Amino acid sequence: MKPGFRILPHTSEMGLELKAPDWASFYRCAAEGLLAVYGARLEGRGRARLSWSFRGGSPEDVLVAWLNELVFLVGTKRFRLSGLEVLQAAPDGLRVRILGERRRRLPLEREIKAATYHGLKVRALRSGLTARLILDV
Amino acid sequence: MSRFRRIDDYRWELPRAGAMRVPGLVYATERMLPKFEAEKVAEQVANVAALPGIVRYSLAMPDAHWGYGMPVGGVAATSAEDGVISPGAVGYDISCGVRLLRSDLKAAEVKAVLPKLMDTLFKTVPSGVGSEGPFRLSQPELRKVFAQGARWAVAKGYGERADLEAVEDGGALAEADPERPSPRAVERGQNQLGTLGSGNHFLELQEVVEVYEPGTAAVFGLFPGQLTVLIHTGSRGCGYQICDDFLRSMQSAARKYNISLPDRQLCCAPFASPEGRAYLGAMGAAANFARANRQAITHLTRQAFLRAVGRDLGLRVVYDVAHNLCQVEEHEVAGRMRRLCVHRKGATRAFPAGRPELPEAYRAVGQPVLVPGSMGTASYVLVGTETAMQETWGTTAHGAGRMMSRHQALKQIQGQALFNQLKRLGIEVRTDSFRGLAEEAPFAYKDVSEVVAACHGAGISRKVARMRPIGVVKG
Repeated sequence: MKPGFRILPHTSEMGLELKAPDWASFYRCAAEGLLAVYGARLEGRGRARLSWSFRGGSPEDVLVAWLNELVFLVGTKRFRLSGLEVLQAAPDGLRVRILGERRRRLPLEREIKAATYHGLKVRALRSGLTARLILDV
Repeated sequence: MSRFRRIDDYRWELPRAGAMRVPGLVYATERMLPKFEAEKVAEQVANVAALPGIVRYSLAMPDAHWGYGMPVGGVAATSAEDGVISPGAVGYDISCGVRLLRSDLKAAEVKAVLPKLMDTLFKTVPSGVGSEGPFRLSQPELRKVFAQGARWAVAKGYGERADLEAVEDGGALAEADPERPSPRAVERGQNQLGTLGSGNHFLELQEVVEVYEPGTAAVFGLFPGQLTVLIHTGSRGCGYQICDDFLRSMQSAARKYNISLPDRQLCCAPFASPEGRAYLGAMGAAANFARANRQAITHLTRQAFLRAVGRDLGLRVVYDVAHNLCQVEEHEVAGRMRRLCVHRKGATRAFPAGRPELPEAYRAVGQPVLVPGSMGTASYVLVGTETAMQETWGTTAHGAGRMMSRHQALKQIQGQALFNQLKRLGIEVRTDSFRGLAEEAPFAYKDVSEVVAACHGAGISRKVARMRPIGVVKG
């Protein structure tokens, strides 16, 4: 399975469909999908390095916590992400290094309030991992 | 085949099935129903009906549409004794709501200065993604906002004491616990007071074009031709963070209390549990932030009017009402009064005459209900009714309700074209995002007049006045 994401239409919100061959690329795809909803992508060279980790719960818990961390970083801290290093990825945990820099202004296409649990199910297939989730925008 | 069973022209029952503890009840015309079916409204109404302690019905208003967890336009009352409280049934934008200001002027009197007035409003009231307000607050000061709501703003000089009389709960929700919001929620709120935000949030200048109940309109201070201002915004980042924090803690609470639900977004805890009380306190804090936010924007709006028009236009608050909130209310159930947690997500309180919660000035006629439409059509002022009290826990619709995704809207029109189209209709728009403007195109929404007609026809609120937009500041 090739890693990727697709933005799904939703009447009032926006959705993301994710697929990836392994957990590390799955969480990375989720981040890239979220950035695409913001109208942004991993780019530039940032000097700041942040560490983030989450342990415990289901893959859905990890995914929601990860995306909501990014919502905080991008939406509130105006952190422009330039790179991600997935240090450890599993169904019940994630440890990443986030590269980028804080900007005084960070143009974004829209505000994302949060990633939701609505109808969220991370499926582990023989070919890889898939999920659909709804973002409150 | 439809899952709904017709009760009358405006009421449709979703019979109990599966995990539903109560039936669903949807308010809609027959014409609206296929959309409810095609989308996931029926499924979401059924999911909400599985909440422990839900009383009588899982409800959906005529503007209901697919949301997450609870449909937008959903209402659920749970018992305060043995029911639950659910952050997912309130949503992220806690206490998002609308505030209507009335002026002493006729809209025609500002026509000549309208472009200047709109420019000034756009400069004075921060809007758009990531916008920051002019009131940067220290953490202790923000905790005061969480406790005092709009009263904090008025005490600081950002408004008049009379404003508070026309805000729900006198401007501050008593259940608020200012210490409950997390440090991250505080951080997200510190620079956002006095901002509209983006998406469907707006500030509109409007003209009252039709009055349906002159007596009630007079009590609300409304008259034909009048210039009014409608403000739509909520608790901004701190509300989103509070919802997110508590959705996380409620996931474990649901396991602790052995609550199983069809949708994890509806996770909840018993109202009386420590987790339930903690959420109520934090949600109240966000509600108070939202009220202070709309009060601060009122202050900025008055300043902009003064600057652009050169004199005080007598802008007074008609009403300020939330449409995403859980409120603890007394309602009659099977002949006895019970304390209920009424979750309204995209639904407006619509209390009738006589309720003690209403401002004294409105107690003889009922609560003003503010129903904004899309920016190219109309908005309505309705009044609460006894039928609403008996059937919907005193609730009615909150707006037009989306019917088209942002993606579809963008495919149909470009922002600049929409801007020009609205200008030809006599509507001055100010925005920093043509893309955002196109996403909120009027055709992406249901016909607000049809929604209002359904509310009026069902008797869950009555039409008082209709306004048309003449200027829009779009977030």
